[in-house]
Amino acid sequence: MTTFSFTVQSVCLGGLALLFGYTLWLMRTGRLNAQITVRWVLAESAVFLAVLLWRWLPLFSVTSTLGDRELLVILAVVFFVFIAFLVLDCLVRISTHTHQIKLLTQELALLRECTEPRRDQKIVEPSDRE
Amino acid sequence: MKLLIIIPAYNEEESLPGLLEEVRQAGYDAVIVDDASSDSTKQVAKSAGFPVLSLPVNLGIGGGVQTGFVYAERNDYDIVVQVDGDGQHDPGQIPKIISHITRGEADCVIGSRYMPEAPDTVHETSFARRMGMYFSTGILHLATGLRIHDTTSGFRALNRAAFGFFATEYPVDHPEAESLLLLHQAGFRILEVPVMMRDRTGGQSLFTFFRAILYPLRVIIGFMGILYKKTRRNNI
Repeated sequence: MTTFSFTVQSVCLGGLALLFGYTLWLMRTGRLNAQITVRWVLAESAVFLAVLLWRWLPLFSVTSTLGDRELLVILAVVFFVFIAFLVLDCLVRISTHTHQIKLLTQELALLRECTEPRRDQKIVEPSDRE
Repeated sequence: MKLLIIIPAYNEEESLPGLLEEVRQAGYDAVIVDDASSDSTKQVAKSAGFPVLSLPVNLGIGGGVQTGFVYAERNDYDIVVQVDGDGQHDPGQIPKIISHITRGEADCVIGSRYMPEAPDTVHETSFARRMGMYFSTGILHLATGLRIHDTTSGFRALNRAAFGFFATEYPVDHPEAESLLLLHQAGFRILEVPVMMRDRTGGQSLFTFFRAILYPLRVIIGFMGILYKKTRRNNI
């Protein structure tokens, strides 16, 4: 590995550590649901390990024979794949929740239709007695 | 046979009273699906004495109509007719639409404005809607071989099997063309009958210029999703 690649590795690890810390802080302040964040934390940990161990990983070990610019290109591609995966993962979650909200909304409307006439009746009943 | 008219309505306080009066005079059962309107649509529908399914958040036309299908299924109706809340669909033409279903000739019948033998020359369709309709007609023909002339018509009748199917699976946004593909894939029989439509008596169409631009993309993605599902089912 060249000194340049070591610098890139350090910057990546530093950035990921900051991101991890920020994620934990968001969870602690209750803005991120722990259950939903599990996949994100797993993905973050996988990237952290990949950067930490890239000297021994087949994809990154190739970079040791390449120049500095190629290393950056490979990092950029990996970063893009990582972001694309996260976006898709978010879309899947949003789709699932949208479907659940739709079902709940429909059930609520059907339930209202059954209960509202009874409620109106109850409101009317006392005045009728008078 | 028990028949239910499903009327999806979003901000239709002006059109709804006239339409509901026509439905009452014809003696049909009806349910109004209020898609979280910001005007007095719900009150207007309730004061007419029909059951109202009041959605707490806006689901779009697909989600609204599907709620009506679930209602029809749970209340043991045999046929449903979808009639738009804007007053464009004449309840007087319902017998014509349901006749093929009662005779068992079709599972879904579409009231069509563009059938070559009897085109609707009175009602004027906007340019954006016409373009969207031609696009979805073409893509449906490519995907299935079906020749439907009015894929965007919301004036439809369905038998119990077809609306029961839609109660579990129905597209959310611009569902008309996609729902035809779904029916075809599931093996239901689709027919068209010529009808005359009227101009809306109030409110505004949801098919705006901006939506018209996005419509082809939505249709393509929706069709791809349905066709992919079908392929996967076949493989299983």
